[in-house]
Amino acid sequence: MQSQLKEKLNPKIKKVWAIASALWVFFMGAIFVVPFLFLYLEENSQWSFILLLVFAALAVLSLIVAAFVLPSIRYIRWSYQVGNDFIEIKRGIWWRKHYMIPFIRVQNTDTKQGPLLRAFGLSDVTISTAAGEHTIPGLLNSEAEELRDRAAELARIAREDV
Amino acid sequence: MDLSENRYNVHKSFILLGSIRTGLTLSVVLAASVLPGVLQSVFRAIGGESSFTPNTWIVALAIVGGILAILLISWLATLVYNAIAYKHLYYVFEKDEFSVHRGILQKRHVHVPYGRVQSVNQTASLLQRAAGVCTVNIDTAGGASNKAIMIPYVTKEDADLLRMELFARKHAVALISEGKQEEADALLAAMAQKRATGQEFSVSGALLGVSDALGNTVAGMTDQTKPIDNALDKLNIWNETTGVFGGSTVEMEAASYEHGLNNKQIFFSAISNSRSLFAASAIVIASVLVVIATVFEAVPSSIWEDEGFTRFLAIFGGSFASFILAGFLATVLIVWIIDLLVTTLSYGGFKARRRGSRIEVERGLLSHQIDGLDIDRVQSVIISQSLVKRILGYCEIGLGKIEAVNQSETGTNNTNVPGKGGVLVVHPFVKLADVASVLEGLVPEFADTPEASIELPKCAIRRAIVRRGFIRNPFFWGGVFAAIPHVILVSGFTGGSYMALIDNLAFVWYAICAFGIGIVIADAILWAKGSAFGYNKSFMCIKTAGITVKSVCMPRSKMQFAILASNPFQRHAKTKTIAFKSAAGVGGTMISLYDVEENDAASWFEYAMPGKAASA
Repeated sequence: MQSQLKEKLNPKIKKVWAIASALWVFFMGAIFVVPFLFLYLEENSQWSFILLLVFAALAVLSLIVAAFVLPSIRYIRWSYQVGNDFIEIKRGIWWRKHYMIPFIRVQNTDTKQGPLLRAFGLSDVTISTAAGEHTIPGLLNSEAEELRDRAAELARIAREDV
Repeated sequence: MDLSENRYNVHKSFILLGSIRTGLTLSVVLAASVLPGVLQSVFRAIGGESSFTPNTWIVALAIVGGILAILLISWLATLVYNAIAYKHLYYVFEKDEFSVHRGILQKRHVHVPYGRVQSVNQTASLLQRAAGVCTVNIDTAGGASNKAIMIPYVTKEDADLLRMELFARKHAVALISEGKQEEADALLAAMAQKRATGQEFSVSGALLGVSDALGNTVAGMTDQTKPIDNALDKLNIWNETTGVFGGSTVEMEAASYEHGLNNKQIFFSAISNSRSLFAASAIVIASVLVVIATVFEAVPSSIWEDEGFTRFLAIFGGSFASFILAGFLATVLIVWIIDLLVTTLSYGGFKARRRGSRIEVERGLLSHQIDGLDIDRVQSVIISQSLVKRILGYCEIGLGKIEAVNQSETGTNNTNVPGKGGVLVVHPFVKLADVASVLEGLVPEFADTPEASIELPKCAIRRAIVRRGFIRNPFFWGGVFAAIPHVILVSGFTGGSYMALIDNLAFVWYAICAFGIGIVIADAILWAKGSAFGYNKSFMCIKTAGITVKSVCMPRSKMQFAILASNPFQRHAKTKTIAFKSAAGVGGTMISLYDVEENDAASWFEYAMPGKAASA
């Protein structure tokens, strides 16, 4: 078990993840299952019923995994920490990744909010460097703004040439 | 400041040369679209299938004439269009910023504050060189989201003046911000005077262009004008002839270091070019497949009566096969020679020099180009060895640089541009032992890079063989996915007439896959044994070995971010992947190393954190 960083995400993010991935899996599942449903209605035979059953079961299983299992594990694995000179992020289930982003390289920090996040009163904080961006998802709006301002301030202090 | 006073048009050759390009493209497209029809009628005529009456000839002539007329009209139209576009294509030195205006209906204006100008580069295609013009590319500070600014068809003199003025104004802006208003005014006045005198001899542009095309470097206006005693002379700007300059100040220094290539180096740069080897091997593989397909169809069925593998061998012994073999070997040779010629020409006149804070690379016999890079903008030093270079003990040195997204119609860009992929090649072929001295001269800032001395643990070999040899190996999966239907077919039909053919094809495919897997495994073992990383106070290096070797060193402070990652297998083997991202290229370049021992990785990560004492 890896050591965790200081800060955790807001627990509400689990619900956001669950809803978002459940929707995604539902649509993907529908794309796979509906043709077999039509096949069964057309054929009305035993093998088509088994096929339908197998695919439906797979879809339901992945729905359960995506909505109930993964968000919690993902949440447990997610932690971050804002230091004076750099920001650290630890995340990932299969690939456990530990990011370290020096503030001297941070170009801008933003907060973002989709409709789902807005419903839960959460925001994403995005930290951009010249080579890619990093997102800390699901912080309370006030927390997110605080973090963004703090990161921007630290980035400004640490500012050097590109 | 009056805008029209500082407004400049590009050279008139824009109208003609621009339309020639468009005209050529149009003709190719038109020719390609009518060619099938023409060929069809020609074959019909030869075969006597259609009766050609005088009428059809008239129709045919009318069609050909029509096509030519369309070409002529569209070429004239582009000529007119370009003539109008020419009026709307100009650049302006405004008070605080430089702007480029273009477009007739849809106007496009690009503005750059002088302070953000990084380097002003020139490229010239063969056609442009003949006309004595070049394309000016202006690099600006800022990451990949920035667009490069391109001004086409600028005369050599105007390009030099443009570059000088940009940097004079950049310097003036810097002076003003330091509160030295008078000095800045003096500088701008001197620049205006310079321009006034400089314009006088731009008449000789065509002559200069011709002499340039003959391979003489342009003596430049500096040799022809007596420098005026002014603020600019103290900055020594006019001693600059071919160079490209950037940086935070305009201080111009004489080149402190320069290297070129001798004939042997140019030849070997071309021969050891991995692209030419790649092209050659691609052709070999393609031809082998063609040969196999041809032979299987052409060889009489008696050959099938042999047993499996001997059958497969027999096709390479037949005289017909050797004829085809000779054929594709010749093709490979021709392609290689052409590539050799192209590369030789593109490396002709190669010069890399250090001038103050800038590195300049100049090259190309036919199309000439000059690239400048400020030392502050160098992201990394990349030393790479292709297979041939490795055997010979030589390598290529490149500098990683941030690449701006090019404007769509760069035109002169081709695959030989050294800046492609965010790498500026500063020496294409140098002895490994001489790397240190080249770096010492060209980029002394990068001279004390550490040895990559921290090697991978023993388990990396086993893991590399499994990971690269099988799990991530397309040859392995290619073999597996061919074997599944093959086995099903074999167990399903026992006596089909096509089975022999399928068996043979499958065996050939398995042989190719086995060969591929063997190569990849050899590469993986070399990788695990040779790869290493290292770091000292200010630099970190990752060396990735294998059949080709590449080592990337970058200053710790230039790192965009660092990653420490592990998957469950790595956690079991107590290894981690280390990675850092540089800003080189478009959107950055990730440099990573698999299977570093856990504790080594952790101490590197600790080291990478800014503000912590370096534990080198």
